[in-house]
Parts: sequence; structure tokens; C-alpha cells
Amino acid sequence: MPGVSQIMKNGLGTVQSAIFFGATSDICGEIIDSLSQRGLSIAVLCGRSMNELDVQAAVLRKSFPFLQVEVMYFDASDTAGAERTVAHATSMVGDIDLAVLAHGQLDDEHLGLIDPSAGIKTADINFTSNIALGLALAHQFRKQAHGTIIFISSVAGVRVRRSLAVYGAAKRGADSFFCALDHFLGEFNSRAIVVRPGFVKTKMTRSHTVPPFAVESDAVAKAIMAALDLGQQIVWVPRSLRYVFLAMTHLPERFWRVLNRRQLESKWSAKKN
Amino acid sequence: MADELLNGPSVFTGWGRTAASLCIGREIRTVDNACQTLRDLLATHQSGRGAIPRGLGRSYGDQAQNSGGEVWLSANCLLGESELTSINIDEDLGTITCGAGVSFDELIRYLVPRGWFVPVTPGTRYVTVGGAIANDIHGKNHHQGGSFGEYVDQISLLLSSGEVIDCSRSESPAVFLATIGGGGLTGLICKATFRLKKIESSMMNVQSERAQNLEQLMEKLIASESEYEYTVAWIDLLSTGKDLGRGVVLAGNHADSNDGPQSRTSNYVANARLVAPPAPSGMLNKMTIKAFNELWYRKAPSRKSQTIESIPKFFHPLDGIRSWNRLYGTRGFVQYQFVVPESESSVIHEVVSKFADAGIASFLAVLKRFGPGSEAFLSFPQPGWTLALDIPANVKLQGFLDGLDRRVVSTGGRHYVAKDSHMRRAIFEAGYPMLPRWKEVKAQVDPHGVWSSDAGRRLGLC
Repeated sequence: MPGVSQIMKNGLGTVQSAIFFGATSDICGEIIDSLSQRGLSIAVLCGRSMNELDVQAAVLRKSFPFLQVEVMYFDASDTAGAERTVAHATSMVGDIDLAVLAHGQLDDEHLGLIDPSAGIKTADINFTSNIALGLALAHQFRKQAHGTIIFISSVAGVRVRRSLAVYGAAKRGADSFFCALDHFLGEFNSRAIVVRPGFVKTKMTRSHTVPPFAVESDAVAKAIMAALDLGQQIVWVPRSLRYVFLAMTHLPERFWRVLNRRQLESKWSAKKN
Repeated sequence: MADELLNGPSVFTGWGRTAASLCIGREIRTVDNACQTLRDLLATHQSGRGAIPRGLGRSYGDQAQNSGGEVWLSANCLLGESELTSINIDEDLGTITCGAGVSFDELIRYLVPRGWFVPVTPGTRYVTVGGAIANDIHGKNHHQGGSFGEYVDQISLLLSSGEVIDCSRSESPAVFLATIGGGGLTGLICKATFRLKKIESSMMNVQSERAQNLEQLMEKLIASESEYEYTVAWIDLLSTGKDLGRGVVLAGNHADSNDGPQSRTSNYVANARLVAPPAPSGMLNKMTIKAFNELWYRKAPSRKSQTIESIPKFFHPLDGIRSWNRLYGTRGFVQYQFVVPESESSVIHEVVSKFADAGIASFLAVLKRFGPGSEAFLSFPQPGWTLALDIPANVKLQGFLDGLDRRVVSTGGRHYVAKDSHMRRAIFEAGYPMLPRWKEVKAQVDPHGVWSSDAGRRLGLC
């Protein structure tokens, strides 16, 4: 029985074809670059802004002459369109070796709690659309009997805090779903990798205060490449967060609330200054 | 063949043990049985994953596996036990008609005591007749004898329509030429008739000699070709500087009565004496391979030496170690084989230098000069130099091999699909100018793409 390269459709362990949701995000951009450097043959970039996707595709084609790049419109808030999107992608490029689910929406803190429609949209983008894509991809992977999903989760979902209540809860739900989906996919020579980064310095988090353990987006891509090579199922970025959040999850609720409050107070005082 | 591979989803790999696929194994014993299995497959073909015939699984990469589809296993019976392992020799004509599931091991055991030999044998006898045709195998005699397909007179082929046709150079010649080297993607080869070689002895008259560098190795190989039917050279890919490309040239002829009393025998014995244990990945590394190469080189005579050897020792030395592919550990290995035209022999020097400079260790690197190619559309051999080497699988090699691939096809060369597991579609297309013709035949005989394999999907053949 061969090792972890078994789900890659190339003897060297090189991913041949991959689809990227939220392709224009910083994290996804780094993942695309890393995979392309390793010899990716086909990349399908999915996102809302076709202009941005076209620019990204042109850069990739120039940097990696072997790479076939396709672009596809994908709106994460259209959760019913997930199956159609995956079917369209397979009709364009055939088997999908790897799917990266890197789209998401991080609202201003507390917005989800004070504006119900904004909260529901955040939940749809971060939870429902990921479930819909996961199910559509699982259906395809069953058919082709191979494939890997990489779901970009967040430590915000490990223990949900007040300021990111909707975002954190949505990530937690989707995180649990992909952990369970991995068990199911194992029967079909496929798998789901859940990536739990801490604070990643990207354009999405530009307006947020940088907390401890923050990383750049290339650190996430590096950790994912290692997970692909070593067969890891859950990836913490940085790795030390695994132990930090092990402690956090066991913290009594009373202390957790105090921590949440102190964190908010320090943010408010930072804003005032 | 392990029964657990049958009738349920199982993991299949090539001999290199990489890129495993989950497929449904179906045992095929007779042509009727194959037709019924085909009808069952077509009834549930909505998934579009189809089926691929598989012999003994000695293709190195993903040629005989079909992720999400079926794999038809035809070599699970003893010789003569089923239609696909039947054997029928015509000694007057010097031909044999046998089922596609007959292995070369069985065939050679049957033929040698009768004074016959297969026209071409690869480096292992554990390949089936069907696999030999589907990959148009070549051997140490290519410079004189060509590839296996050139000896095949007729093929009986089950098409995806359910029809069994006979094809040859005069009857459905396009299908015949697409099936030889076609990777099993035109249909199930049921049986074939091919010409045999008459021999006097079961022994080989072998000459071996060291060469101190690549230039010497190539010269000695060329010099031995006129005198010897079988020639090959082993290269030490880790030697550098003035020793770059040093190796051992091996040349042989079938022995006859003039070769002394040792050669006056038709007894044939071939058994694996050792079994390779499961090894950790990384056991075959630069250090261990360097030590092996040094020993292997020093073991060979520094001057020309003549010996009488058995057929297995000369043709199939690795078959003496059962499951030797496990030595590469769980990550497996890839084989890289290409051919460049005679006029571009400097590319061999270039590639050997690149491997030596990069310190990429290859346990088995073999150099050979091919004679004229075959007219089969996807046949690999063409006149020139071919280099084959085994490398432990590593994702970091993709860029390195991509660079070599581009260089090879830029010279008019190509890569051997039966051994490949990393090649890009564009490289494959550039190397095989008759590919469009092959695709035309594929579209005619298999319009719905029933015959599919992982390699076929990767290279755009199905």
C-alpha cells in the first residue's frame, strides 16, 4: 500500500488539476503559487470579480507556461449554485485532484450580532456555501474515486468568542462538517484537510488589530504543502496554536468571558488612543 | 494474483507503487465472460469511468489502473486453464497463438525445452502477452530485432461494441496498429498469434566489460552490436568528473553447440531466490546507491570476459528478487525512460551530467541503442539512444523532470508511456506525431470511451 501520494494522479505526488474558490484571496494566491511551482497542470480560479480573476490568470500563465488556467464566476452567497459550479468545472477540465475552499467573509466585529441580515449573509458565505461545495465535491470524488478538499477554517471557530460570534460559529460548523466528511471520503480514496490558521495578515484582515501568533499568508501555503506530503488531516498555522487552543477550549466559561471582555476593552482603548 | 483484488473496490498501483487508484477488479477467464462483463459495464456506464484490462501489473505508472472504474484481470489462471491463458504452438510455421493472459514466465518455461524462445523479452518475465502488445515492449535485441509488435501477426480484440474482431496488417490494419502500443485503450486483447525464435540451448553466451566513462560506454555498446544479438549497458549515474557515466556493457547471444558442454542443455529453471522485505522510504538513498554502484562496477571484469549464463540470469536478473519494488519503501518510485535520435546522442551526456550534478540517486540506470522503429502509432522505440532509470518518488522532482522532458522532445525524442507516471500532456503530444491517427481509430472503435485508464486520462487518450 503506497503512502500519502495515493490520491494524487501523478506518480511523483504532483497535484494535476485543482479548483480554487476565493482564488483572489491572499491565502489562495499563495496556495496557487506553491502548487504551480510543484508542477500543477490545470488551475480553475473561481470568484466574484471576473476582472480580478482575469488579471490573476494572466499573471499565472506568464509565470508558469505549463499551467492551463481557467476562470469561473462563483458567488458564495448563491449556495444553490455550488453543484452547478463543480459540474461546470469538471466538464471543463475532467477529474479534479484538489479543491481549495478559501472564500470567506469577515465582518466588522459584532456586526453579525447587531445586523441580522449581515449576520445571515456571513453565515451563508462561511458555512452554507462551504457545506454545499463540500457535498458537490464529495459527489464528484466518489465518481472519480480520488480527490482532496482543503478547507480553510479558522481558530476563531475552535472556541467562538463574542466579537466574532457569527463568523466563528460558521467556521466551527463547517470545520466539524469537513472533519466528518474526511471520514466519509476515506472510503473513496479521497480526503478533506482542515486548515486552522490563526490571524493571517491579508487584505481581508487589514482593518483588524494584529494579535499574537499572527502569520503571513505564505506560512499557510507552506503548512498546506506539508500536509499534502505527510497526509495530515488537521493543520494548525502556526503549529503552536494547537496547544494554545487546547488550553482555550478547557478554560471555564467564566474566565473565557473575562478574557473576551478584556480583549474588547483593550481594543476600545487602543481605538481611543 | 491476489484474489482480494477481485470483484470489489480495491487499491491498484503500478509496479512503482505510486498514484494508487480505487478500482473495481473483475476477473476475466473467457471471451464469453468478457462479453458479459462488458454488457454489465455498459448497463452501468453512466459514471463514464469505463474499464481497463490489466495483466500482471508491471507497467510502472498508472497505465493499468482506472480510478473509479473497472480493472479487468486476465492473468489469474494457470496456463491452459482458461481461454485467456490457452496456448497453441505451430512448430512448422514457428508461430504460437496464445491467450492474452499468458505470462512470459509461463511462455518461456513452455518454449525453451522445445527449442523456441520469445522474439522479444523485456527485463522481467512477469508480463502477459496482452501487456506486451499493449505496450509494444522492447528488449536487449531491439537494435537487430525491433519491438514485440513487429512479430505479432494477428490479434483477436473485444471492442466496446461487444464485437470480437481479428486484426492484422492486412485485416483492419489501422485497429491493429493502434492496438500495438495502445495501452489497452482500443479493446480487450483476447489472444494473439506471433512468431517465435528458434534456439539450440537454454544458455546464453555472454560478454561483459567495464567502461570507464560515458563515451567509452557508448563506443563499446556500438561495437558489440554487430556481433551480439542482445546488448545493454548499466550506468553508474552517481559517478562524476572523469568517471561520469561509467558502467558495464553486457552483450549476449543464444549459446549453441560450439559454446562448450555447458551450453548443451535445454533445461530451463527460473525461480526467485530472495524476497525483498518491506523497506522504509529512503532506504535507497544517495549513500546506499553509491555503495551498490561501486560494488556493481568493481564486480564487472575490467577486460572483456566471456561466460555462459542462464536465460533468467541474463535477461531477468531482477526477477531473482521477488517484490524488489518494495525496496523503495511506501512512497514508491518512478521510472524515467526516453529515446533521442542518433544525431542527438549528446543529450544522453547532458542528462547523465544533470543527474550526477543534482545527486539524484538511481538504483538502476540502463542505456541501450534502438534500431528502426515500428509503424504502430504509439510505439515508443525509434532509432537512437534510450536511457531508462529508476528514481525514488518525490514531488520535488517534477520541475527537474519537466526540464529534461522539454529537452528530450526538442530533439525529436519521446518518453515511454508504459513506464511514465509524471509526463505532461503537451510533452506526450509533442513526442508522438502519429497520435492524431491513433485518436481517430480510438474514436471509431470506442466512441463512448469505455476503455479508460488513469494514464489515458492524464495524457488525453480517453
